[in-house]
Amino acid sequence: MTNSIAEFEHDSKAIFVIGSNTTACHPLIASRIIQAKENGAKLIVADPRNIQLARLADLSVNHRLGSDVALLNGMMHVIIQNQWHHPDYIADRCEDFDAFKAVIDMYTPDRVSDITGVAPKDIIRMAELYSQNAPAALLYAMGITQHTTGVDNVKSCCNLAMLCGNVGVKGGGINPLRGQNNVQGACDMGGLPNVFTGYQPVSDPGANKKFSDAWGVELSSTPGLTITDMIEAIDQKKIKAMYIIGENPKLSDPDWNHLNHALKKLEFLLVQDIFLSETAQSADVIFASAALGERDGTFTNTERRCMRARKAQDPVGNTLPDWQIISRLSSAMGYAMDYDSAETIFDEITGLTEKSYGGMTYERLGINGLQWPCPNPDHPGTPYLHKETFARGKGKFHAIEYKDPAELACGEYPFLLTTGRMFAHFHTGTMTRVSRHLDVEQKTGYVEIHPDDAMTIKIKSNDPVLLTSRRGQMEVSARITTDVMPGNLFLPIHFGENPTNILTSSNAFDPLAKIPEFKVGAVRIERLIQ
Amino acid sequence: MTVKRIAFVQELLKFMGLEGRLHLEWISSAEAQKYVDVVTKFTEKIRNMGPNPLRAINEMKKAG
Amino acid sequence: MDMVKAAKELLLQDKVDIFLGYRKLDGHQIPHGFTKAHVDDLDQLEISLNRYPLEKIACDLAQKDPALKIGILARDCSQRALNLLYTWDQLNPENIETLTVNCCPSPLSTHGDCSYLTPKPTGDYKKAHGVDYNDSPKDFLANHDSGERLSRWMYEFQKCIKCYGCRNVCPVCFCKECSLEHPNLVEPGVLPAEVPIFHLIRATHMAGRCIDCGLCEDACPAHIPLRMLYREVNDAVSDIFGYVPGDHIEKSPFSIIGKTVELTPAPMDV
Repeated sequence: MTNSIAEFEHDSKAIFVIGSNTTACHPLIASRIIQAKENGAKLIVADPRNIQLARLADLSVNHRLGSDVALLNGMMHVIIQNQWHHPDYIADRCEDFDAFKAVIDMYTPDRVSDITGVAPKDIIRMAELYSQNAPAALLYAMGITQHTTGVDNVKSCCNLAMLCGNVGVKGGGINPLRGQNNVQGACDMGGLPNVFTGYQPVSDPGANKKFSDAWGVELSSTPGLTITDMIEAIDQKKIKAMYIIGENPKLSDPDWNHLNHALKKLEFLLVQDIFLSETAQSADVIFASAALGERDGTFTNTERRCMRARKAQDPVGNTLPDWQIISRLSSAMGYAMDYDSAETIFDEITGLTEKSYGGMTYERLGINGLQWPCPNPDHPGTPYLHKETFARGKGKFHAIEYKDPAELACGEYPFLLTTGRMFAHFHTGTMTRVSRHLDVEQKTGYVEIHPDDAMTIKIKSNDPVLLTSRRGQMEVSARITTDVMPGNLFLPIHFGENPTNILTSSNAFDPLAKIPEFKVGAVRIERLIQ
Repeated sequence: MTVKRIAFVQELLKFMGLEGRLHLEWISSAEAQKYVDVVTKFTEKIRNMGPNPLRAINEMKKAG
Repeated sequence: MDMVKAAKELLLQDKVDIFLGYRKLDGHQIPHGFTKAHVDDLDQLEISLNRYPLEKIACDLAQKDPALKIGILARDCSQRALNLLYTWDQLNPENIETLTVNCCPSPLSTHGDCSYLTPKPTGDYKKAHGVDYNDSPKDFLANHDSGERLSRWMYEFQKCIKCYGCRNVCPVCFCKECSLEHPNLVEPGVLPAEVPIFHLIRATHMAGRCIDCGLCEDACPAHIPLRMLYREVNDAVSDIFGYVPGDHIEKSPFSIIGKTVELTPAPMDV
């Protein structure tokens, strides 16, 4: 997030939520949005599904799956036509506006309406609400990113925010809501194939030397592989062993059949987790790790806030905190890691990540934590980014054309399937399905289908149906609801007995970010005769 | 116990704007005519009140 | 500080095995169980505006060890909660010692320490479409017709994200099995929590129970004016049965064995 969660409640005059089922997936951020709305802020919601937040919106639209670029371009077309944009901000702080405008000029409300299914008057109203109530915050989640056009979608969100001078402003900003409490932290720590901590490239000689010196080894300057590439590499036997920590790719990665086929080719699989996940069940060796509350450490959340997690009790049984397991494994393999505490490791991180974490210490983090960049011990942290100038200098407008998703509905696969989370469970359910109270809410998987479609294929609520995609088939029970549009289906991802990813594709991914298109796929749905 | 609970729930429903839709009557198994009268009268009353407003609210997916 | 001294005495003289209060951690006040082994921790005992259901923690402790003697830093609402919990046999008054703090103002003490003494601000949109936190139930009933009462409450209820925070924080919610989780009563697995039955069930279960501490409203992430709703529940119970939950140790009119109440069913108004 460029901005902070609290600003939605106190500073934003308009909040535009696109591709985020916020009340179900980020309830505490939803709480701020509700508060803002009740205090008079305008709320715009765009989502292919009828989400709960839409009930509170001043305007809500259901655009077609994967049509985000067109919808955003359409809003920007209206804004420029009505001169609701901020020419001074654009001239002072941005670049490449003309090439961008040339593309936007083509996206008239009528044309956009044809692509998105949203009425022209709603596109105009959305543009007006967003641009005429400043500062306006733009919030998105996986509904924007999990597409073959994920990067295009994100760039379009940035275009819109810059067009209205909403970046570098309190209460504005571009705010991706992260899918896990510590995704931001994992990325900050170099949990990506091409960077060290704080996004310092492995290929940058200076950064590489700094880390090589600090760790007393010569480090590779060649980027590693993304998850998407790793599966292919296993298939081609270029990767023979895998060490998976706190992740359950058997449920979370696309194309289940392909993945399982690949995983069988591994000569050795090591899994480290707090529970015996689907992935751990097929491991050669399992390291049981300590859970939250049994270990010290930090999380960095979606608003770049690094916070301490404190140990409340000793780990159960013979489990160990992750850092101790990694240290022991490393030492056993010949590179001694002899940290005496999580804090020692944090101090090493801050020493090597000067620009963003340099000013942080456990003592300074306290309970509220600090938001990076926090480069020195006196720095109060940064509630919002790009204040005077953009990190790269000028804010770059990208001219983006709408592209269809990888799969469209067709005769053989007439429905479009989208996947996501529901409120009672988290991700692959490893941590939530063991809770009795959450199990009461949702015991197993289901597919949401519109009442009209249910009538066409002659099914009643809870009837079993068969879903077929180009990758595979799965059986699941139907939930009939107007929460999905006619022609669309929704599957929650939490349930190992109905693994959504039997249906999804591992070939449809964003060319840059390599993120799979979990949000659109063509399927067929059939009634199962009882 | 029943009369206590009904008396309370009637108050609560009134507060929510759903008054008049809950009624309690003691009818013995010997009072066939009273049963017919009460059920007929209550059915009439509910019909005159029109459709359940909650149905409209639950089907309303978007505000404003 | 007298309170610290009194709490220390309770522990040192073995009048209680644990004392439930608050201590500060990095500027935040959190509930803490003080023990004789670490009696000096009581020097950090905090008394301020913040509130947590310490009585609920006491119930959990008592369930694990029924003989445990528990000291509690008690507000007026805690005292009402304790009376209620004694009434329903959830705590044994002989095992509870309280040290009372000044909170709700009265003719005898005008000063109080309670986060509720400053009224919660209600936003303009909420005032126009929802329910004002600070409205009295009687005024709400008098000022809005039936259709408007319905639409205002349904606006509030459809925001519910089904976190169960109202139940989980409630000092007098102690049922082993909760009706809110019964699939025949409330449809599971959907948002918002089924409107309005989820909230009507909970309101009904608050009848004869709610001690008006307001923790539910504090906890609600969807900003539903629950305290105001349960105040109406309390008004109704008080009007019909003359019963005020937690006022003293007395069975609720909804107990199976309790005071006999003379009531006749209301006539059908057509």
